[in-house]
Amino acid sequence: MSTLTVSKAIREGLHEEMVRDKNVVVLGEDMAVMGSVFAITQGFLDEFGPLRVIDTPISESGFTGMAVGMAMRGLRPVVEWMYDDFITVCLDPVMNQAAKMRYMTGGQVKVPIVFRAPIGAGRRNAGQHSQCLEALFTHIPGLKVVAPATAADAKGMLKSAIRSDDPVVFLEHKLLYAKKEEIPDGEYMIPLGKADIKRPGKDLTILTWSRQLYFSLEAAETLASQGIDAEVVDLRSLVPLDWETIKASVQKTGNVMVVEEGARRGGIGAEIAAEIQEELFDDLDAPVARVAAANVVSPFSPPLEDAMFPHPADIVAAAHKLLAK
Amino acid sequence: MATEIKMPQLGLTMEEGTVERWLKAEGDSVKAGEPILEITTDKLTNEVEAEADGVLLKIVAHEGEDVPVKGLLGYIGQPGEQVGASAPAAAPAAAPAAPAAQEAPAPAQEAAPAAKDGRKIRISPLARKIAKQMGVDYATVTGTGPSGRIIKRDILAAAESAPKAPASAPAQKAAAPAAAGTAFPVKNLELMEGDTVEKLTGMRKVVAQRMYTSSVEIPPVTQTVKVDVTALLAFRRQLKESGHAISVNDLVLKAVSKALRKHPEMLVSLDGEQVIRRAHVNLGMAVALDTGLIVPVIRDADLLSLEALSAKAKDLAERARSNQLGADEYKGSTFTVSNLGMFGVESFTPIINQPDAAILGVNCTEDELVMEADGTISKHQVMRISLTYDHRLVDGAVAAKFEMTVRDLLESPMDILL
Repeated sequence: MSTLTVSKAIREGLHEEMVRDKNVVVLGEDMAVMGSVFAITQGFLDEFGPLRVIDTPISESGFTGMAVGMAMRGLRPVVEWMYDDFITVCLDPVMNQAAKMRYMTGGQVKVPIVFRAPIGAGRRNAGQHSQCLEALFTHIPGLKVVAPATAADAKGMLKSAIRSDDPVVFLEHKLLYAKKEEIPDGEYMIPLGKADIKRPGKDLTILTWSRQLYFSLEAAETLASQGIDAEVVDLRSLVPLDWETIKASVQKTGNVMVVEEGARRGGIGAEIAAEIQEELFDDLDAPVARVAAANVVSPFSPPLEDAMFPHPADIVAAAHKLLAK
Repeated sequence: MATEIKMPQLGLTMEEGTVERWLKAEGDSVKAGEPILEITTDKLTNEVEAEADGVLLKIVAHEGEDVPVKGLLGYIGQPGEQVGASAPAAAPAAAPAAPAAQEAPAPAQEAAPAAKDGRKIRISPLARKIAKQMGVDYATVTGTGPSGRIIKRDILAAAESAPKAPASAPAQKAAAPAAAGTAFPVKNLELMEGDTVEKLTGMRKVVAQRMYTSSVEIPPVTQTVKVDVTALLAFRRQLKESGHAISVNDLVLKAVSKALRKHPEMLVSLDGEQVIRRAHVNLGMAVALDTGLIVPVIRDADLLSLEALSAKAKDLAERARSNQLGADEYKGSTFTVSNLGMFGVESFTPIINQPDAAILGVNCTEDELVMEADGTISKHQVMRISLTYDHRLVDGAVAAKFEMTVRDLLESPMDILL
């Protein structure tokens, strides 16, 4: 075991893959000379050279489209969007090209590409730099969408994402980059599509991912002191979704909530809640609860921003309501 | 008036059945005598036929549900007809509402939810499921969830308090199925990729419970004896050449019947502090099915000729496989034979089919080299027989003597017929 920050763990995973496979290239704004604003690619330019570590102009639609073309021609590009909010200017190459190409060519063309994008609120970055757009990505068939929270998961899943023959949207929470955690020594992989029970419990299932995992774990400790034993399931991967783990947990506890940082309306929680009530109705002791951000634009004002998205106290309150306690 | 479809009683001992499959959906028209659903009992699958013409109005017991004999499965009636207890209850409840409205609307409205029959019960799906499993009548339970919804903890509390209140009839009823249904502990096993889950029902459930009970109750001993079947196989070939299709298993059944007559101490059953000495040699014969295991019984096997015994065994096995055994044809064994020889099993430890005191496992036939009295080596066919007995009733020497008798009969096949 060694202790690394989440950003260093991502860097390590990316580095290992670039050493392993010369087809892996990185591109994006400030990726080469500066080493990315979150220091993910520091030193890469010297080690791998300008053909594999590419600084691009501020033109997401340009470099994302270029990267999709590189993937179609056999490279394995890892693209960084500085914020997931910027998907709006480059949605066509992602949604209409990368996601659909393998199907529409009858499998003749594969698009092995990773779109890395920081997400999340809490940095007073206001409306255009604070969103969690998981629900937007998961609605597009043909994309895999993952959002690891821990350093160990981030590294292991990034390696799997790079080796995936399909496009993967890899979402990293800005406020987790500096978190220091233990990760396994040596090379390891974590498959996409596998949830991880980060805290076992029997009274209540909390389905969550990314930064809300830590808020959920914190809430679970508070709940434990009140005699409520919550199971916290880190979904990690939203597409594909680990339904078997969800099912087993719901069947164990009978009470379930989905905790997410994205907007409540049309969110991942809505989708999972619908799926659970259709498939597991007889296992439910209460309606599936959703804890999510308010349906508003992310405010710049710190008190308003904090009120906008879920915090541990919101999860605790929702658990009380769910369990009628 | 709608006709109720009820769980039929198939055989004297049947107490409940499982709804295996509805052959008709709600709204389908049915004719009297037409099969409308399949039920399974502990051992059988049977079709239930419609008793009247009409449409299948409502399915009350869904697939996989266990329903006691005479329990309600559904209704047949005319299209649009109201069914169930709600139909008569609804009419008087609705009628007084209108005239009462002018004078005292408030009490009328309050009275409605309080009325036991007409009250809409709020209950979570999980609580309803658990109530059914534990036999709790949730109509009498007070909910503590939002808006008075009955949730899991209310059912658990009701089930826990039930045995402590013997005065209440529904409470007593609740306790019994709970006790009977808890044979296997719930472990909440972790599912791995590709695993599927199904309910333990029908024959599998009965086999599971019977094997478990036998294994827990009985101190078993298994003794294996080697039998030289060279002569037996030659005898069987001889019979075959003269047009008699007799199997090795038939010969074993015959030999065992004869040996049991000679060793009545093997024909016993334990019932509390009493030992029952059985008068009849009723041979159970384990038959493997796709869905489990059934043990049809050859009654008074010792009184049947080899040919009659063989015919009976064949008939029972065939009907067991096609699910056509009568309920009384797999009850009342006093000794059982289980043959795994055709699968190449060399030796095994069968589990006693209660209330028998012993079971004989029959194994495969193999070639062995034997040194004869004159020192020459020759090839013989040998087969092992594995006897498991209940050591509470039978001791090792007694069991060994019985096995020796079986062995001697099989080694001198002419004696089987005498």
